[in-house]
Amino acid sequence: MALTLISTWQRARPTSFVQTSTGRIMFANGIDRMQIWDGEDTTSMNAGFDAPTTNLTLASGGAGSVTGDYTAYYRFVDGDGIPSNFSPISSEVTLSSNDINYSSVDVDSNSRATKREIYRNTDGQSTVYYLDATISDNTSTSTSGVDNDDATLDDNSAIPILLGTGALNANKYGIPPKKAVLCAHRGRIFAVGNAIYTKGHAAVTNASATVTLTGGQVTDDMVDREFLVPGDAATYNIDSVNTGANTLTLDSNYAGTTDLFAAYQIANYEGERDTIYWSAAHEPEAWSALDGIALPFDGDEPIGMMEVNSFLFIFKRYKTYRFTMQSDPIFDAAIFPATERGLCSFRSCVNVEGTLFCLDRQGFYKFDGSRAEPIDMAILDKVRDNIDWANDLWFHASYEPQTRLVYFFVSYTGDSGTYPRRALVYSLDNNAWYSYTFSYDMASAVIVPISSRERMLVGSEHENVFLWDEGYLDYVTDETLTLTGDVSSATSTTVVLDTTLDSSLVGADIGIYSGTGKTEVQRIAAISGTTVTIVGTWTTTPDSTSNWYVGTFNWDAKLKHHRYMWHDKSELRECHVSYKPTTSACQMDLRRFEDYDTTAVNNAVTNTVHNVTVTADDPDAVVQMQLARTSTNDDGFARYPYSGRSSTRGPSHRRVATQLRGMARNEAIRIYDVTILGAMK
Amino acid sequence: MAALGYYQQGDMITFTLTALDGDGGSAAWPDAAPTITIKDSGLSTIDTLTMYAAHKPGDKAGTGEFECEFIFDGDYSVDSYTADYAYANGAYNHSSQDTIEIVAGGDPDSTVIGLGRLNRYSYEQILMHMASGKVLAKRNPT
Repeated sequence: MALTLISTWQRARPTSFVQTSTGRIMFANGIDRMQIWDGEDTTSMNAGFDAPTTNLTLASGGAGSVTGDYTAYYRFVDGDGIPSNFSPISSEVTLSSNDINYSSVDVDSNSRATKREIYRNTDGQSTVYYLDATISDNTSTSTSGVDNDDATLDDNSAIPILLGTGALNANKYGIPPKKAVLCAHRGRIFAVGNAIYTKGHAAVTNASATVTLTGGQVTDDMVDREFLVPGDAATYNIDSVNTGANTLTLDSNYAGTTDLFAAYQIANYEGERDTIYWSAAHEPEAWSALDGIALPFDGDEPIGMMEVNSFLFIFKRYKTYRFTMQSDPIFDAAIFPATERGLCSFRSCVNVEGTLFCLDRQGFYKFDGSRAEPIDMAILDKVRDNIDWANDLWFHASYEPQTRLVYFFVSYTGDSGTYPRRALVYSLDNNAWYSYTFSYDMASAVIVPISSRERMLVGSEHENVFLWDEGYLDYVTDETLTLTGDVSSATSTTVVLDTTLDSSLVGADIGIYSGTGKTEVQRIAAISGTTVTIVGTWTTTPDSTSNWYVGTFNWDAKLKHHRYMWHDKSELRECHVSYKPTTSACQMDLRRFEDYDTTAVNNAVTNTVHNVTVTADDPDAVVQMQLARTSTNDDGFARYPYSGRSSTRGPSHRRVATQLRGMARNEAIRIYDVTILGAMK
Repeated sequence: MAALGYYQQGDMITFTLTALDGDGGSAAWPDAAPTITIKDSGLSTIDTLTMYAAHKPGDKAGTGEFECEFIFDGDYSVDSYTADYAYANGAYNHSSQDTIEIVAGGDPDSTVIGLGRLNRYSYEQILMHMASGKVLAKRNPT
């Protein structure tokens, strides 16, 4: 059973989660008020304790022992002992052998406070305040007859207004800044990054301070941010909001032209955008307004952060800075340029054993803290030609420790939806790249311990969270169901099968693994008898020659180009593949590409040799992988002869690349080796 | 009328519309943002949505171009639905309709667009940022 921590959290941006040194989790998106959760309560709460906004009244009571000139503050305190900032100071009162009555002590309207503490000075000083009274509830607004003379008060809990260093002390419990990205470092929480809110349109009216959003959601946290209409030079402060009416009130009347459907932007002020803030050490809800420092201005904005060893790296889109500190960053922090690479989003970076693997708009690189090294030479074409940078806010990276693979989840131009449906995967062990295509959104990832092993979870559609590298099929929870068969007929949006599918398979993918429409994969929208309705439409409509599989996805491995042996004789040219025979019907295609052509070479003849069937004018050499044990079947071995010969005198093909592809089954597809005869390494 | 296809609870759809001028001829901004009324097969109204100008980051919407991003929540059981578009431009009152099929399955909280982890020493909590606007927490099973 899931707990709903908060139900009004914007989806316009990804959430930044960070665990605090106090065993809580904080999360932010730069739009809504930052949240904190202790892992036990049924809901999260606003991070930072909203302080009292009105002062109390200090008045003389009856006869007592207090003599002198006094002022007082009060603050809220919650059940965990976490305080708010002090209230505004009371008016000064002169007492002469009186006791004290406190009144107008506000209750916490957010109901977080379980008590309120009243602090008073001793006569003649106002730099240290002492606990004078506690109202042990959140309902009473007064307490009377408080009679602590200065000597008694001096023995009580003392709070200096400032520390000896000049840092805020009593008022260090400020509200966290409106930042989008959080990172824990040396017991503190650091915050950077700006959310620019542009959802929907704004109705702006000349000479009116009221702006109505449509499509966007007004939140309380938009107060004191900047509102502007692109193309209009003026900017406005948002003075107040009405979340019910979905309106903003600007600090002055809108001076531009009335526009019922204006594009707009709500963002932090420009001077604020480069600032990094931090909490007090081991007090994740204590954010002093003074605890911040501006990064060097370079026209770029902070996007993300990552801790590596004793450093905090702050990423902009095209630059990275190294942040160092000793004990208190307000006094001993230093910021140095680290590399001219950056990040495309705060989630597009992962720390693997002290080395960061990152994606910015130049491509993929690794960064050891001192030097950035590109790792994407083998896939530069994908980086340059395919990646859809318009959606890079949602790109994310993760590391799968069991397989030592770094996953970069990205979108390609033309992909449907907003969230990544591709993974470009980097192998730490052989520096090779793999690519995956998913028919579902793969929108988030996290590493968690499962059965004492670190495993990767990936968030997907329909509240699904996948345990990565577990099982063989997607969206199929019972792999004993009937999952394969023949197609009887099909239309552009349906397919009639030779059997009735279990209703639990609605939402899974159905793939055509042979015959007309081979490699097509579509999501099942409905099952009625033997008729399956798909969500989209077939690119190539299957027919009675087609065979289907449910829960499957396409896998694909294209090997690098090898140079053919170069001499004038009929050198044997073949592809040999060793694999583990499957227990059920399964097939794999071998295809070849010559001289860097992106189109596979058609076969010249039709025949079957060593499990491999080729058809003239078709590029696929089809390997039947099922264990058969016949006299003509060479289980676990496929031999695919390539036609042609080399020539030193005339034109001939010089290089060849081999592709293996197929569809996933409910058992492992294991390729042991691929050998290209007649070609050099 | 266009068939907008099959959806499950939690699926996201983006309705689009180009508003026309009073003659119903060329694109124009209407008097107010168009609305969409979604009705089930029994003609009961399930939702009324207001469309917004289809601005893209750094780019103003083309004249009269509107869109509306919407997630089918728990109110959408398996059924056929109609989406009725309406707007006015002077004396011109526009009305048009698309159809949507909601099929079984899905989850109204939609896609898990963010994941976080809280180590509580003896167990783990997994936090999930959902496209529906919720942040959920579940205990890691092991």
